[in-house]
Amino acid sequence: MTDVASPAATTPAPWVAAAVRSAVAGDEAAFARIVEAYGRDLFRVAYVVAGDEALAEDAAQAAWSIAWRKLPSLRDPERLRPWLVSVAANEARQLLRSRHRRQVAEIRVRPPDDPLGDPSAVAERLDLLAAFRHLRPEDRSLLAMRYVAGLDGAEIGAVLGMSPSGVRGHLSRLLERLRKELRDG
Amino acid sequence: MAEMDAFERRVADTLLCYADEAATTLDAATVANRAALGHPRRAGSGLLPWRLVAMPWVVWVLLLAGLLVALIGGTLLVGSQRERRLPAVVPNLGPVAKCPPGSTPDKPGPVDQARPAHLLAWTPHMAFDRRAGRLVAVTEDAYLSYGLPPETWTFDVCTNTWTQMHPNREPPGFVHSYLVYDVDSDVTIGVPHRDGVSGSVWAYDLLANTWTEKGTAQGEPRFYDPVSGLVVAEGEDGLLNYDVDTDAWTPIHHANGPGSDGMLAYDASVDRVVVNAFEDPTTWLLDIRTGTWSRSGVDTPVFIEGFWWVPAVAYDEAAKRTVFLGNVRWAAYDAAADRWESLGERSSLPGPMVYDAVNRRLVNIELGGRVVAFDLASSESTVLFESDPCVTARPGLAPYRGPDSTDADGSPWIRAAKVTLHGGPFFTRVVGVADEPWVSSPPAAPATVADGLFLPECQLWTDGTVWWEETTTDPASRAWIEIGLGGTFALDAAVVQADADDAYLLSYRDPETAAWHPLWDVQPGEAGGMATRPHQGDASARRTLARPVVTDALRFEAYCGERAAGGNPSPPQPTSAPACGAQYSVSEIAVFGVPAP
Repeated sequence: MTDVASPAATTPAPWVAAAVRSAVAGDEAAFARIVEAYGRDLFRVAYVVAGDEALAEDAAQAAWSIAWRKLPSLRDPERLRPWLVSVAANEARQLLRSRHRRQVAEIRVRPPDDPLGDPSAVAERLDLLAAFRHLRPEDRSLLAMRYVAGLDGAEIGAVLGMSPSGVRGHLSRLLERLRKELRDG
Repeated sequence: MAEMDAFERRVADTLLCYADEAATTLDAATVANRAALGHPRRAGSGLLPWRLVAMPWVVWVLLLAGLLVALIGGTLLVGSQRERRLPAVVPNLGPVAKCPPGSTPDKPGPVDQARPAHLLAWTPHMAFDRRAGRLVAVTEDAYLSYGLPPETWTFDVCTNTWTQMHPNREPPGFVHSYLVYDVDSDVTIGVPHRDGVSGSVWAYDLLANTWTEKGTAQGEPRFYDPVSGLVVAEGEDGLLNYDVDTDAWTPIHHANGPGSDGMLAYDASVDRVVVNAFEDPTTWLLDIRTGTWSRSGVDTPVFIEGFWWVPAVAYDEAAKRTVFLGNVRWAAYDAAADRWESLGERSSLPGPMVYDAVNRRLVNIELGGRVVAFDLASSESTVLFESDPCVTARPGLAPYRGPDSTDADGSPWIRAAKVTLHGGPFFTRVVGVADEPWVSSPPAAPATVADGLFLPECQLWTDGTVWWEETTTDPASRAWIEIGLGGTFALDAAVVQADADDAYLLSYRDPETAAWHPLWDVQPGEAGGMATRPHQGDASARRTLARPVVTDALRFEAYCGERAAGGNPSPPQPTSAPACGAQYSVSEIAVFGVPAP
């Protein structure tokens, strides 16, 4: 597995531990600072899992509510970001699943902003997103945590209760499934 | 760490671009405020230690006296309360088969018996058919490119043997689904659930060995209710009764219960549904006759670490306990006494669990396929079927020789006409002759890889195999094996036995263009030594191709070794250099098909 450049470094800034302590003690401003730092990450992951902005916003807000409530149980502030991302992915997955029971939700794919972009590249991207949509929500969560949030196998394993090698194996099979969908599609 | 290959990079870039498309305005203060409003922290943080120390001694005496009175009063109050008792309804749970005289249900089944091909990778979905005395198990759908269709199997708990049922048809798409045995109608019911979408209800009649597709599911079956004689399912808005005979759904009216998802089981001893809620672990009881909920007053154990998994659950009729099995611990809940009893810690993923009414104990299939019974009364575990690929290979099905050897569709094994080793050098180790593989192993005989002979599973990777070494930094070390088929064939399946911790690429040649195309990305296995793929320990399993390919030659090459070192998850194209270096080994490459027209 290869490291993917991440918007936020895996090692949290020094202020994070202090902010977590303050938030646990009830400091809403400290919690807002955490939201400010990681809110975008949570939303992006939720969006990739759910494929819908409104649903992603709901999932992110639900994740922050859970985070506020369960922050006292976070033993290691260094795991804050992976933990938050996993909670958001899970909330997106749950919301998506509950909506799926009523109707089949499609992941919306916008046309590219650049009309002069390479048409074949655009088509490839759309094909890949279509294949991605066929994965189970939990599998989309895993790929989003890996490639959108940039978490590594150990970080994902720690929050999912899997071994790093188990994460790698699962990712490997998901990539193969995507590859096969594109090949057979 | 290996470099990301082109496809993985493409996936990463595509998802990052896709995430960038999402537009949102984040007002951190508002988000934080909303979160905090929903769960306000207590004002202040209680008495601080220094304040306690500073209290006058009179206050200390009063405080301690008050605590003493509260302790004595509390003890008297609790001691005078009766143990919680719920009405003991104990409905008739239906007829149960008996083991024939002379049966040995505690004796493990034969290690070399046929069993579900998926067992080593995926646990099946299952229910217990109490009339037949068998577990009904449906394997996961052909997910993640394993190329194996779903299969219906039964496990006889009197003989501990698996039987593939080959019913009239197989239900598609069983992924993360539940099966429930409907005692009244004598069928096992399930709802295939894939891509987050539930499909039709499917009912399996074991006696007739037929699957019947019913109408669209409105919920997922959870348990059988012996009072109504119907299956109870969980839908979007709560529980429903499902009558398989009329294919009708009826809502069960009940008040709001736990606010999060949970696992359900029916406790016949108190006629209540036991619910273990995942979030803020709590235990609830639902009276489905009146629709009323009650919350357990005792702490609920945490069964699961990580949100990926859900605990397995089963009601033990003999012990009158509902047992929850997670990846960190398992425990039994006595609803009548409102009490949890720990059954120990665990460190493996929870597989499905059912109650074996014939032998009056729980049966669990662990990830990897081992079948284990557990008797709550005696706390004894009994292994009913050992699936370790290193000890349970199916020697009766290998080697493949001659026209009798076929794949699931009946296509015969294609005997190779010529095997050529490119690059290398390639070695084989002969036990007792060349004990140090890098020093004295003789050159390998190419035909070894296509002689129809599979080695014992988990055999040392150097013994009797064809092995070689490659490094990423030295393209000259690249090695591959070509197998000429001696004609043009339409291939539809393959099976490979190669070193467990490496990944390989099997390619085929287009006879018209002479171009090579990927046929199968052979992923690492789970055990050590030589591992048969697609399923370790089961040389009868085939990697079925989505559609036949016409070819006259195969190429086999390694692309990533020693999984533990962090493998590159994607294979390069056949013309590119290997992505990482290691020692590789293969003992058999078998393909199946018919001569191309």
